[in-house]
Amino acid sequence: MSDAGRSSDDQRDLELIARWKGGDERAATDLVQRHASALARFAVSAGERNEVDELVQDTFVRAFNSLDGFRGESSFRTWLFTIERRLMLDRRRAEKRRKDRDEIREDDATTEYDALDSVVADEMQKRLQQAVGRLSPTQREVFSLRVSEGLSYKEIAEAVGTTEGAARVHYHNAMRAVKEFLDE
Amino acid sequence: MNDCANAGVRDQLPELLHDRLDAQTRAAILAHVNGCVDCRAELELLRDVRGMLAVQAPRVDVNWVAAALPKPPRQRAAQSGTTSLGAARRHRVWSDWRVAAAVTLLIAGGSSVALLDHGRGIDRLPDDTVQLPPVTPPAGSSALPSASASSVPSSLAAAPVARASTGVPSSQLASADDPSDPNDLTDPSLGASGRLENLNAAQLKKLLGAIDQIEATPITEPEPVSLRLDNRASTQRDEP
Repeated sequence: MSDAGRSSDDQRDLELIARWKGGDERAATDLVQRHASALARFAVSAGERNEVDELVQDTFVRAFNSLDGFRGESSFRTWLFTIERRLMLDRRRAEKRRKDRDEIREDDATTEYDALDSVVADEMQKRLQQAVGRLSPTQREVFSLRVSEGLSYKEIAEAVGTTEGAARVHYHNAMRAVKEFLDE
Repeated sequence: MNDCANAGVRDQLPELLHDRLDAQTRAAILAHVNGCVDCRAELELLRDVRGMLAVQAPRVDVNWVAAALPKPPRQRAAQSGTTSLGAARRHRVWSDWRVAAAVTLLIAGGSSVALLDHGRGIDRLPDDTVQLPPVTPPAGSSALPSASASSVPSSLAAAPVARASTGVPSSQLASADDPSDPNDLTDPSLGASGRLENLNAAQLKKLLGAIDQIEATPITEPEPVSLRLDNRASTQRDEP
């Protein structure tokens, strides 16, 4: 990513990273402040419901431990999403081995998400939750990153390990599925 | 809910929602959305989904997360540098202690040797020293130092410096210290004190006989040895 193509948010992240590398611990706190909520949202939208805060913490710890490997080719937030997604996959594999959770499959549209028992304020939000919950895991990840975080297809492709075109297809299929569910 | 036919505009509705469009593009998209029911409905749907996901996400304690983060690299380097400095300082103290101990040992040891040498008087040759003919030990004899001691009896054999100057292997020197050596002039039968003036006639005769039995076949031309008889006696006294 060229400097001209960077958003002010990305530039700010790079400045904070440079400050942290220079010994400023407060810069790390600022980076957590800027991205912790987005990571929590992504985790929940991907179906995580237990110990989300620990997942977010693990994501930051892993990121800061390997910050030398961050070359700034993608945005810092996208990089964080990539790390968090790997951690979520690790968690699910471990849980699958422990048989504490149902098997996660691409065609399992109702994986965990429907089990969310958070209080939904109104009927519309409840319907939206159900609509998103019926998406496939990949569709849900792409849809969440696109709608909730405003990532571009390129950034989504980097975060979930797919191509830009595939991310676009996943997003539009997800949008169509949500609309159809709400129209029922 | 229908999809707008303008896929390009629909594709950029999330960017419009997150205000990630430049001013010109944003104005164009907004102009379309204001006149398009489907795009307005889809934009509203996006806002609702975003709100729903935000509500479900738990709050994360930023300070709790930050507390688990590793220290910045520069701080880590400084800490490791401090640790290295401390180790170096400890090493230096340890070295200083060893140097002090070595100096103390050298001083104490050197003083002891000086006192012993002073008592033996082997490094002084007074004016009344008499010249003795060189005496060479028998060829192949393991009692070389003791044989040499016929000129300077036993005292040189007992002195490490003298042993080194003979060029004889230490194993041989060890055998020279063997009290069972038949050529040992410090035979207990020669007297308890080992001093010449304390020897009786028989003992002196035996000593001279032992000296006579030594074969004088020098390998190289020996240097003449100077010896003061009084000192010879005193050095014999120091023999164990």
